[in-house]
Amino acid sequence: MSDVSLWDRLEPLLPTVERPSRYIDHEYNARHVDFSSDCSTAPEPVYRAALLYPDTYEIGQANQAIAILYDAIWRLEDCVAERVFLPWIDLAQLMREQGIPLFSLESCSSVAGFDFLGITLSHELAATNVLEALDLAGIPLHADERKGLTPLIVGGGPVAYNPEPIAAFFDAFVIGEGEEVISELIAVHRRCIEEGLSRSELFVQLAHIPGVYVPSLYAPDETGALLPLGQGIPSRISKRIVGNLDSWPIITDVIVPYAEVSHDRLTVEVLRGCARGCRFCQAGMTGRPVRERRVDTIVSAVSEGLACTGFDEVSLTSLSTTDHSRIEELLRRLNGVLEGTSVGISLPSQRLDAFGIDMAHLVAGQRRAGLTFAPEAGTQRLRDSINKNVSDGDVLDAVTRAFEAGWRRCKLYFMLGLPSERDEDVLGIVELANRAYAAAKEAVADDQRSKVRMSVSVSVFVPKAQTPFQWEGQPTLEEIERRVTLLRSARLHKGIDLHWHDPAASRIEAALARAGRDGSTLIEAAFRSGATFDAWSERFDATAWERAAVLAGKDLAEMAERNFEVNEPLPWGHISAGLDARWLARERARALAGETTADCSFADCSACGVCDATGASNDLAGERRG
Amino acid sequence: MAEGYFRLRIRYAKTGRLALLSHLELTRALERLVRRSGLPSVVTQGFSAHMRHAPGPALPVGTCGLAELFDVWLTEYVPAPVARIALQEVAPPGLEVRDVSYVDPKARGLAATHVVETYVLVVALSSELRETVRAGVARLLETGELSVKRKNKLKTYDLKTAIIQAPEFMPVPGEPGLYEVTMTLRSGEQGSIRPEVLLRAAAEGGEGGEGSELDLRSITRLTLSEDAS
Repeated sequence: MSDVSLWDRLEPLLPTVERPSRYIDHEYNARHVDFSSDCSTAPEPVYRAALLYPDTYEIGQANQAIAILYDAIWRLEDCVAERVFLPWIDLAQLMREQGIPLFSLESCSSVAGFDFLGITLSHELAATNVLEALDLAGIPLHADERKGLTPLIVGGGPVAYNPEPIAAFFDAFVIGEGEEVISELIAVHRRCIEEGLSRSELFVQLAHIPGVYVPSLYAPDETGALLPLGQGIPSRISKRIVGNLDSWPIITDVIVPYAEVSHDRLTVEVLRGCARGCRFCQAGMTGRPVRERRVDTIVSAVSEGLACTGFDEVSLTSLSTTDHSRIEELLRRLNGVLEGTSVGISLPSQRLDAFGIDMAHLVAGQRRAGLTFAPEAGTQRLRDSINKNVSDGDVLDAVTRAFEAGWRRCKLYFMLGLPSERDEDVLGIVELANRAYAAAKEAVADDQRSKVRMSVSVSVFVPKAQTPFQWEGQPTLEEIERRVTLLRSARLHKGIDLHWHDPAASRIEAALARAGRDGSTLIEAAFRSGATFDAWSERFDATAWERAAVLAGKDLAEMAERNFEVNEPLPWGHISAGLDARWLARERARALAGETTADCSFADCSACGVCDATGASNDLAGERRG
Repeated sequence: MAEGYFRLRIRYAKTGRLALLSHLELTRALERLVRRSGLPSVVTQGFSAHMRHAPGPALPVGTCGLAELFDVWLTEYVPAPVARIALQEVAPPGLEVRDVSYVDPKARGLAATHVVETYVLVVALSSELRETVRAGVARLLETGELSVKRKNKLKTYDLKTAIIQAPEFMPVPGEPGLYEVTMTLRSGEQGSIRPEVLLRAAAEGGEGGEGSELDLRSITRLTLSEDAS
């Protein structure tokens, strides 16, 4: 174990790279073993965990998973947690030239010297960045090439719901929410180190922790289904969740960054889970059941968090904040607490109806930066099919109410390539946007009409594991491009800006989202072909992935467009988000029949199975409105 | 600004790693520091409500400051020692609140009044280069002006006004070849000349041009004060 500071070698490089403040640590609320020693002579703690967000500091610093696990690990006895981000390409190049390995922020020490390396995996395109991190750290990329018990490399986050394409690079994964399981995992790891067990013995011990998946203990049978290799290894790994979210402390002494980061504000998670049941949405499907924090809990966390950090904005986060059963009471109380201060409240997601706008209005103060609405699809038929229970009338009402209330900018978000999409649905996007634009113009006074701004943002549907659309392939690239052309040629009002996401990047995402273990050869080949920071549009290099596919003997189109049979074993079949496979199949059938399913947080249960699987249930702070 | 507000002047040091902060990052960190302290800062009304404050003259990325200034307006009078402690208790490592005092709320801005800056640079110089720099400084003073090209713009500084105290060289005890170079400069309408730019020009023999590379170890603004002249 080594925690020798690399700072003296790093410091001379920093004035020459972009935005050096992201590498300096020393932010308010960052935790250190012994600050007075400037980290170089700190006493060696018993267990050191590094938490990596596989992107730059600006993207990862505000990540909630890292913040929660950082806090949870520091609460454990004799444990420290440190943050790790990827250096931008300018510094990475200098580090390679000078032999400086990937370093943690707090002690500025080599990541390879830690006991534990936790990697949060927010999206599929982070895969090559994981390899970049391991490579910079001097850690062998493949789990089976690594020796010893440290660092133990564990992944978690949304991508772990289909871990197979990156399984070769990880020792273990945590499925579901990590705050409880992290302490169990570290306890087992520490005991195995103390007892001098072998790596394979450690893996068996880890596999016994509920929610922990150790890929090396599973192998495919003749049908391709992954089966456990030993006695007592679970055949199915079910997600972990925090049943009583309200009793879990909200972290208020969060790190206050110097560099300007995305989500540069206090974040208070007001609820977890979403039962609206949008059939494409992995976060909604895997986050069930709904667990709301109580208003008192949230209000005191906001006050305490602002006092501890000095932020001037607080974001009330969740998948659907305005669905909180006591949202109005919460916002009114927060307005009272924050009156006379310069602190603003932001709601990251707008409910697409007049109530949602009323709530946004309640906290907007003088700020009217812009609202984002996500109708997702252009016609009622397709919205019913994806279970987005929103009508044209809801969209137009919401837009009208927003522009009447003083907003002058709004963004409409749609998806292209959803299962069963037809040309009329594509043209429906344009039609709905034009009507929304007309409604916005109508809602404002004559002298304000020239200020109305609307944009339409279109991304390409990416089928995800653990959703009712997990069996569906993405349309071909040519077909997606034809639909983009159709969209562009339709008569969108000239006052509306149209943006669309690069279909080539979405295809890589789709190829990886449902790939099996053999997907790792593609990822490694892409990394060797120079692909990193694939989620950065200016860095995404489709040709690197095309080259990689040739090298790895893979067909990107086939991977992305593959339709699975409902009875066929799925690469992620041994991983459970608690959803009954029959329910998922039923939801798929209902999608094809254009039938909607109600939200069980205010209507009937649809028997998705998650309450039985997790032993938890919807935990609401009051009665929800539909 | 309405009557009845109190203008608190914070004198602070930013050292070590915090030298790498940009002016914008530092200003945001100071705003957050003031909010954490709980001092009753004035919030401007308008489209985007924000704290009423005014940072002192900017330092370039990489430069430390031992007596930097930041003004913040308060709605209530808080005794200066109380305010100082409130700020010190919530300051991040590397940002040390040295003292605070009240100034006339109507006083001119810091950039206009605090134009005299004393710097110390730690630089490695061979004995030959040290003599070149010394001679270069003398030549620059004699010429009386220096043109510096920055971002494709040529700026000419009147050195008679800009240099209050010419660079002085002191060997760093126990560090052969290292020198502390101290100088006092005055910023004017054309902005302030950077001390390292002056030193590089001197290393070129005081002939102007692009400036030669020097082995600079650190740059620190020691003081920031009003012009007594």
